[in-house]
Amino acid sequence: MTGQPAGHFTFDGKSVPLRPGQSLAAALTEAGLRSFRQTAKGATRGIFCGMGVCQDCLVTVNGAPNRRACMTPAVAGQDIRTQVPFPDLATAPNPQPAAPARVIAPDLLIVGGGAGGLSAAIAARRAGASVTILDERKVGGGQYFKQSAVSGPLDAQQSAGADLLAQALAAGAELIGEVEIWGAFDGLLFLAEHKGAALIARPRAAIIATGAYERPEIRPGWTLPGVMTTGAAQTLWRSYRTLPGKRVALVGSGPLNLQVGLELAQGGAEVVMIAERGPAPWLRPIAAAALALSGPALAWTGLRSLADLRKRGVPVRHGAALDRIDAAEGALRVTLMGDLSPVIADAVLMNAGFDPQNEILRLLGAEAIYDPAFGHLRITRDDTCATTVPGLYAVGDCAGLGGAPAAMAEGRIAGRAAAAALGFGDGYDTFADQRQLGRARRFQRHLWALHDVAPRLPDVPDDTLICRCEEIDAGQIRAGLGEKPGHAGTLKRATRVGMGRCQGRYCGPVAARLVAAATGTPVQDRSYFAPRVPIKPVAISAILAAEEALKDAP
Amino acid sequence: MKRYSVFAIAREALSHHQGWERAWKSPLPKASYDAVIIGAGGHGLATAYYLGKNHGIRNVAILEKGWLGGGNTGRNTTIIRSNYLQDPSAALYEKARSLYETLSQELNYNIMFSPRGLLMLAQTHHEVRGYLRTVHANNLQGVSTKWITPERVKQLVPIINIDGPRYPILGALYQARGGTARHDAVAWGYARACSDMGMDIIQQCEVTGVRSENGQVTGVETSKGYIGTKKLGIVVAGHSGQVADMAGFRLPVESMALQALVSEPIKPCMDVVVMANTVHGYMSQSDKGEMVIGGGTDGFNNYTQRGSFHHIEETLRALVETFPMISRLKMLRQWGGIVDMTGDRSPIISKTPLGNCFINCGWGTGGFKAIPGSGWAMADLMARGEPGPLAAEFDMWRFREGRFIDESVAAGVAH
Repeated sequence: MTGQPAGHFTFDGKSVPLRPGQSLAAALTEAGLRSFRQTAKGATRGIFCGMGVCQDCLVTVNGAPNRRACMTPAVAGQDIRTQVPFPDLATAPNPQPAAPARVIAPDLLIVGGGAGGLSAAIAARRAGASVTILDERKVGGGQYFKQSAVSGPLDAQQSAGADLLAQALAAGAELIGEVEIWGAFDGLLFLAEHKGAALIARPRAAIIATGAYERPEIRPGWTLPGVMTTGAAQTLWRSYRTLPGKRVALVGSGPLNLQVGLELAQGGAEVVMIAERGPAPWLRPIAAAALALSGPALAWTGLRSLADLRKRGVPVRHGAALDRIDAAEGALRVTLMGDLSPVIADAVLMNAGFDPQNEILRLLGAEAIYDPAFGHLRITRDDTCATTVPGLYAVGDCAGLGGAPAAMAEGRIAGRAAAAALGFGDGYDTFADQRQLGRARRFQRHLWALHDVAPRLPDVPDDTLICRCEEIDAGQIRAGLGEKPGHAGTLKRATRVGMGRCQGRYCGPVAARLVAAATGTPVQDRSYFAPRVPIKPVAISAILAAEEALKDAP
Repeated sequence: MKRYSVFAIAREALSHHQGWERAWKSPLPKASYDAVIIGAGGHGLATAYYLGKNHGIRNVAILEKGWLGGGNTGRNTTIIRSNYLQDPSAALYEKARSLYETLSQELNYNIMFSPRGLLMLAQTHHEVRGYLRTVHANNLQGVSTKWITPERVKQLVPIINIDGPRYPILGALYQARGGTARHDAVAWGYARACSDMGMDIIQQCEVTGVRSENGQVTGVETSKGYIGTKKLGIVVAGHSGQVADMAGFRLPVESMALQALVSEPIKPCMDVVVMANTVHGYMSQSDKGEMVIGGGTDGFNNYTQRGSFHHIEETLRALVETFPMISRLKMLRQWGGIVDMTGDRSPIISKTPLGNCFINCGWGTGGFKAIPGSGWAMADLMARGEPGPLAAEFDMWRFREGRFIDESVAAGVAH
């Protein structure tokens, strides 16, 4: 791995080395520690989403409970402890006195500093609008470009991200990292927490570019420590140069699994298996040819990855789906559907599609339509990526899956259009971007036709968890469905599914599909849990700090 | 109905717990009933239960537009107390509280009644005088409450700060047998008992009209067709005004959103319920370890089960002074319910201008605590056609006649 230990922290009293820039989750994983917290029912959990969404990697940091290991930087001398389910808050230390609240009022606020958000920032800034980008991570670039926190760029993809980031900053956009938005209100008011202080944004217009989070394979064993999303493993490796384990298995469907499988193999992990739900591309030559024609360069990259994986002896099993994962003597035993013999791995990575991170958009009332092919909502937008809410734009995967090239084209279009609507620039000259966008979307259509990310109803045994946070299993959900709930919200109140820390981000779409299937109604935008403030768990001190600042603001 | 008991658990264990029956049936509506109750929340189900139990009227349907217990029964902060000021209210709420004491045994369903004790903090000198008066009134009414000093408050609630700069604790009105119960279980327990008596609980059945002949109710139009009835009980909360409109009369109620929020689970730190009326906040710790915090009502009428966020902020700001530790607490969820409020903050249990049509509404921000007593009184009214002693003072004409039962102070939430 890169870099020398820069010190040590302790985990339950045991010394753990850290490298500069690493997150707690990365340093713990590198030390072979996978269980970070205990649940109320006595199970253990570790890193899962790796991007601050699932709230499963909680640890106690210097006595302060419930900190996400994936979002907390490792610092020498920290006292980290396994998170107990019911921490003693009465004796927990008071947080450091927060810095004064900050109120910003840029012309354009961009939420999310990834491919789409950065592109939008560059376009709007060049048109003359003042632009502030808020990002939840410390380092901008988003999930596609995944910038390294510990060293220079690893490859062309990270270099391209670094370039985009540099362009946005050079154009004069302000990027504020480590911002967690927990509330969005009409008239475009955003409330957030920034390093323990309140951050309030009152922009004239906003572009939401929050991306997507991964859809897991909900199968027996999917909550075991060591089972994580493919993106989480990619973050460990690309951002922190930490391998998720020595032996790695990947399951699900989509190009990300192949890419990450190859990256980890190149990084020195033993990739014991990549199971892809979709059939092999050579069994579907017409679809494969259509993909190659719609994006020859990207298709070529994909084909080269497959060849490289084969050369390295990584077994890629097409048409294979995960059956179950079991804990087996300090490792994980992965069994596929059908008659295949199980494999043993230290880490199992799963990605079976994506769900848009559209909470802010839905909270503000943006309309959306259900896309049955991908099993998620697509935000209703016009040609300029404007939503049905005045002054609110959506670009990239948060509006419906489209991939990074499409997000960048959308970002340029929306950035220019939003600036023009505020009186900066003319907003024209989008022809080239529209053409690129069309091409990118065409490629995406052909790409996903080769994979299998159609949403599934969880056909799992009764004791398999559906809701990770509240530990609600399939049996309880089935019992709840027996009462014929008319809405996912009804199922939520009957079973507590979706009432936990992740606010139903992983089980919510499942609940919506289950209720729709049980009632024989189509899934639509109102089928999901109603979005509510706070969209992320937020400390009461932060709510009050925001309120104080709002009162003082003119 | 199979009784729940330790023997039943042992017996069912032999068949791998596959033999448990559904707690209540989901029948289709019959053509007509002796009595129809609109609203399968706590109050509606309790009304049906006592109609069957106390008055032998069992050919009853309970209609619910959503799902059983899904309105305010499933949205409140589950506080049970009876420390009201006026005689009629004290009688009604104390009846309810005493029924709660044995409700688990009576329904053979664990409603998790937890009489953990309840404090209403006095934080201004006006409150001190008001609560001292309430203590005296309660003593005369046979409701067991007492006045306690700030030091005793601190003993009962170690996490409290009694010397806040704005709102110091000057004492508290303490009801030792007040507490909480599991809100869903109350609805489920009554539903199971009603279903066992042969009553029909019909969910997802919205009433769209009330039919009458010669000033007497004859039935209701619903999303599942027409249902005839000899007697109609309207026992809905937030939308009581709309249903009354279908029956052709107006109610002196306003509907607005009341909110609550819940935190992440933490180690048990507070084993009483604390209400702080000056600052509109009340807090208890659930059995799951979450701090349950109730807030104020919106300042305007509406039907969105959502509420304005600034009320949450106001509640929290005030509570942080009294409970400094909650500033470290993370808030997970917030929700709202629609409460129907009367001018004197007391409920309506009343006959209506329409013959054989009765209404139970206006419980405002505190209906959960009253569920058994409310059902008892409403069943009595429906069965006999005339209010009994519990309901007598709560008719809807009191507003026209100026017989207010003023409970603005004891109602708990400033409006």
